[in-house]
Amino acid sequence: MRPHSGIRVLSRLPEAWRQPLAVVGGVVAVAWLLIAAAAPLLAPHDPLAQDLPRLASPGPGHWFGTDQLGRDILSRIMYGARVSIPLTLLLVVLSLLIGGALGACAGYFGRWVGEGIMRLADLVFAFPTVILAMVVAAALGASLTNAVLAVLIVAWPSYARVTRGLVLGMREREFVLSGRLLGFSAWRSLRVDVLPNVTGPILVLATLDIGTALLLLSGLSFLGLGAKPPSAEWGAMVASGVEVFDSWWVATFPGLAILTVVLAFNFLGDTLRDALDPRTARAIKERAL
Amino acid sequence: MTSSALSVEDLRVSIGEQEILRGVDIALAPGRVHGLAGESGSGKTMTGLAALGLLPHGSRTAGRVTLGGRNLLDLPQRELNKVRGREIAMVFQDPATSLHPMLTIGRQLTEHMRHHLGLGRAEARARAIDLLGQVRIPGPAAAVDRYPHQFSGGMRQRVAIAIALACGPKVLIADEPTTALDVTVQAGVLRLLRGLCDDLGLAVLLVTHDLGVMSAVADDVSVMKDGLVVETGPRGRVLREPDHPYTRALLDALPREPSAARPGVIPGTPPVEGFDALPKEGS
Amino acid sequence: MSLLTVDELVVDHRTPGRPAVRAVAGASLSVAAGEVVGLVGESGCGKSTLARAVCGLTAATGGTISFEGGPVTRLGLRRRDRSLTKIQMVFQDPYASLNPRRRIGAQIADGLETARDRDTTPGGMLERVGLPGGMAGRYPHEFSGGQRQRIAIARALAARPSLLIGDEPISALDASAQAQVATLMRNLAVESGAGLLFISHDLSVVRLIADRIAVMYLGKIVETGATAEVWANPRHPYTQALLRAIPEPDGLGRLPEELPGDVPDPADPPPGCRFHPRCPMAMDICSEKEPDPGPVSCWLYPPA
Repeated sequence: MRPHSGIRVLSRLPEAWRQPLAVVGGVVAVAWLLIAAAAPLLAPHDPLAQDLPRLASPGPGHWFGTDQLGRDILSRIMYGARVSIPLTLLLVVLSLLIGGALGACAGYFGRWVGEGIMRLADLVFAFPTVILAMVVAAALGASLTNAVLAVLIVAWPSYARVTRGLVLGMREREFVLSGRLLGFSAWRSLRVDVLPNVTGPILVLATLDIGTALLLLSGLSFLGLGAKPPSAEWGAMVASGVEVFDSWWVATFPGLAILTVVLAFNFLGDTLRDALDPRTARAIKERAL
Repeated sequence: MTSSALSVEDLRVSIGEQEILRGVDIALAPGRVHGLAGESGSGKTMTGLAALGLLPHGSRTAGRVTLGGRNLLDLPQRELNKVRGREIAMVFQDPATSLHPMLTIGRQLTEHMRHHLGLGRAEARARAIDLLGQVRIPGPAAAVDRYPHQFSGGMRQRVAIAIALACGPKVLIADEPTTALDVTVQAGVLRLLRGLCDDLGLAVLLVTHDLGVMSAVADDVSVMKDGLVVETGPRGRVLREPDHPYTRALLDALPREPSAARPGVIPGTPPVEGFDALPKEGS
Repeated sequence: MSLLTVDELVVDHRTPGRPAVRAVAGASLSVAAGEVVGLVGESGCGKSTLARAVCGLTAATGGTISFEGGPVTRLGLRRRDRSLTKIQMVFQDPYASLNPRRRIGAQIADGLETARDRDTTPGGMLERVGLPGGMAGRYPHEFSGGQRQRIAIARALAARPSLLIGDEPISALDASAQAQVATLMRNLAVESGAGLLFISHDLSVVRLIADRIAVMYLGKIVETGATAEVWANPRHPYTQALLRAIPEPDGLGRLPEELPGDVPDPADPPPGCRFHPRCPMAMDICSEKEPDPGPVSCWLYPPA
């Protein structure tokens, strides 16, 4: 008998990506991306239409129930994926680029510029993340764009710090010195020798950060500092659900949506870390044997 | 039949699909240093570890490692822990990592003695000072209260040897004990090892890649290649009139007379320099 | 005129909150074109620091380093001066000396680009160091330590250096590869007319390839001379101790001789001759006055 084609694809993946949690993370993450992309085709109702019975419990026709205004929660969650997931990914990519670039400059060029950048990062680190993001979002005015900006401001320093540390260590490596002795300019050295060798760990950080960023972004909306009603955003949906505690489904389902996305990307981040670290990769292999 | 302190018979170790040892036989006799030579990847370190019953997780073993009538490979962990330290001990290459940086060397010495031999505090301390004197640490009575970082590399290796000897083992496994040391310091540690072997009747397995070190202290020499012992014999014979072409190649590759004989290339040049050792395209 | 002249070089290592450590304490050395100089000494004697200073990787605190008549400046953030790319270095750790993410051919091509050499191919350079030219498309992890060191040599030589420096380039290799790689470095340097400064703690290898030997102890060069002469008739007590400590693989079971005592802390060197606390032939003057630099820096051989 020939093995099932799905199993065959699986067995061709590197060891680390074949672990149960990696598979679960991958499947859930891909499922959410598909839902976000195809929400208009999949959603049974208009996410904004208030034409269903109010606070109907989950049942046929509205599997996740309806909210106080008679909107279908399942449809709103599906449309919410179109808001939360792309924004979170954009957020992480931007903080990676900004933090990574600043950190790399601080690490490679050192001196005053680097010191300045790192003191700024320390300043951000000195405040609790959520509170700082709240203050920034409140100061800028409540809107989804400003919430993204607020999260970006609190998120870049960790990338800067990690990148700087990695670049500092890499700068003294012998192949980097060899390049400089051959007459590489500092930029070329950074581009050719240093950066390609520090991207792995930074990508792991970014993947693990997707969950945190989504939580923070939803958190701001929950506090009324992000998405404005009536737009379907998970954090805002949870917030509205808290007002009607007896109708548990209003808050629970968007909450579960957040939870699954956070867990899926954390699993993926862990897997990526294991796959990039040869020692763990070997340990996984030995355990599998 | 001569009585051996430790004998390794047909030892096979594999990890995954890779066979690391493919049937190794070595016998250690009391009062003799047995040198185990070979290049990196030949399996010499693995043989040393296996002799202690220390094998990597997930490895499969076959064969026998006999110490005092028992096969160490069959012993349960608890029994093995009793044997290690008391009957067989090990000295590693890097004393900087084998000593605990936060404990005084006296503490590290007495810990074993009190645990294995059940000595009292004062008794153990007296023996610790005695041992430090035996490995020729200057001022042993004061040295016992110092921390590893307060010693030089050579002195740290002497301390590591003292710890290995604390419970009076009959067998000592030394894995590249002088490789991390400078030559002038190495000379002292080699003299010490040789002296301890003679005075205490220790059976020593000396794992080293350095044939000069081998020639200086070993009585018997085994040469390993690709998980097998290719040649065994008395030092003088193996190093002066080697039988096996690989032993001869190892000796020829050493720097000797400058102009007369530039070092030879090992024929077929296996483990390190050979292109056949390269992974195939796409692996 | 010699290719490289190091005169009274002093290099301090500064760590905030600690006294400066004088790693090189007034060392003089020269290398001529086509000459192989072996710099030997034990760990912490400052030989690697000296090599790094000659490349401009470490700043000199005092003294001068001149290369082809011009001073060697410290390599900062600016691009290295073209005249200084004529100094190339092969480092100790074969696993850190190549970029793991680039094909070896591309890394050797960097060297060719430095020399503006458009005729040689990376494959051709690989063949010169004894590796098949067809391997240029491979990544470093596909090679053994000895092979990587050959690749590092190919890259350094591609830049057509007139001075090649090897900073313990063989100490991380298997014994059988050590002599081969060292001999290869010598042959390639001499063929191309470059000088070679070969730094090693292994006297037996240096003896094999060097024309001249310089022995370093605690930041100072204590003896220099033609290799055969130093080997046959070492004059400085430290050189003598170093030679006597080498175990010979002759199968005779002779224990090497030990040099008692430890190398003093370079942050707090002994007064007078730096070797006197361990010297079996120390005299009164040795602890009072430092001997003059010369072929042998020792009071047993007073300057004529």
